Amino acid sequence: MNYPEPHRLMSRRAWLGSAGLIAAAAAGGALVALVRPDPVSGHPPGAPDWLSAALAREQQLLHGLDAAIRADPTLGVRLAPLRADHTAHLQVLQVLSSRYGPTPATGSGSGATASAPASTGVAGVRRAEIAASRATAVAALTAVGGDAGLLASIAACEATHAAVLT
Amino acid sequence: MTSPTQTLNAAWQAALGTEYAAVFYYGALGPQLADAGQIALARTFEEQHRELRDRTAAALVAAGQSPAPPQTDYPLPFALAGSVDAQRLALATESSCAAAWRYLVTTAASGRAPSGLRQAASDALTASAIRATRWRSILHPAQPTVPFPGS
Repeated sequence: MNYPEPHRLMSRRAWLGSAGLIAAAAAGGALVALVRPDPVSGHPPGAPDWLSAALAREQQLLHGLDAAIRADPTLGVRLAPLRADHTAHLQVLQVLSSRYGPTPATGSGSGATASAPASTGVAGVRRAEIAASRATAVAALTAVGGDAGLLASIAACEATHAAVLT
Repeated sequence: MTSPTQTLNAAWQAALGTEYAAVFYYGALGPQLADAGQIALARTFEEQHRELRDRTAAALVAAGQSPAPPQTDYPLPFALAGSVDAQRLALATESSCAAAWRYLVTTAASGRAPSGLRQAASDALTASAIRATRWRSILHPAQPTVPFPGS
């Protein structure tokens, strides 16, 4: 495949407009997920099943990362960005959980990776990220509205973690 | 007032639009890359976008929709003056695709959507996030990932 010469600009405004629309749409989805009630989900009185499992997965991933860094402190720099991502996931999920009232117990939800072996080194962290990504992606197929977009985004992030650890 | 079906179709067409743009931008940025490994990466990713574009258009047809045609041109968001600009454009392209696919996941989960659409959109989001990470690893090696791809 040969690359053609770069095309000349035709309508910068059109590109910026479409990019802006996409950004606004994405931001809108994020706001629905993070700030205000999702009108589609209708705020059921209890937290959805996937939420406690998602919280448990994020906590378990953080524990696994901490264990890997404790075992080999030279991994700290490499794993720190991943840890920051999971901390952000956990915070957002906790905000979401607060919308549903009492915080669900973590570690007991279906789809949690509680039975996964403890992370051992980079390979163990990578396996845990892959398992979490798959479980979160499955949860994204049953969640409603902005929650589904949020879960799909978290699943994608965990897949990128596995990719950088390859 | 826009109906949920109209919103879903608009999101679906927008995702197709970002795939058209991605194919175009990879064609534009490829010649600016100097590193052989990065050139190969760009070619692989361009082909992946080409395949996804075709799959998306076919899925729209199968759902009774008419895929919107590509634009006649896609203006560059900034001038390409070398390899780093090409890498930046690749990252921006993947980020735009990720945003469009995430939005489609949300809209598909907000009403009636064709079977498999949400899964396909989620898979496309993940694929773009991984491609973005490859470019980010080159541009920002200390921070190759983002917590919420598509945001």
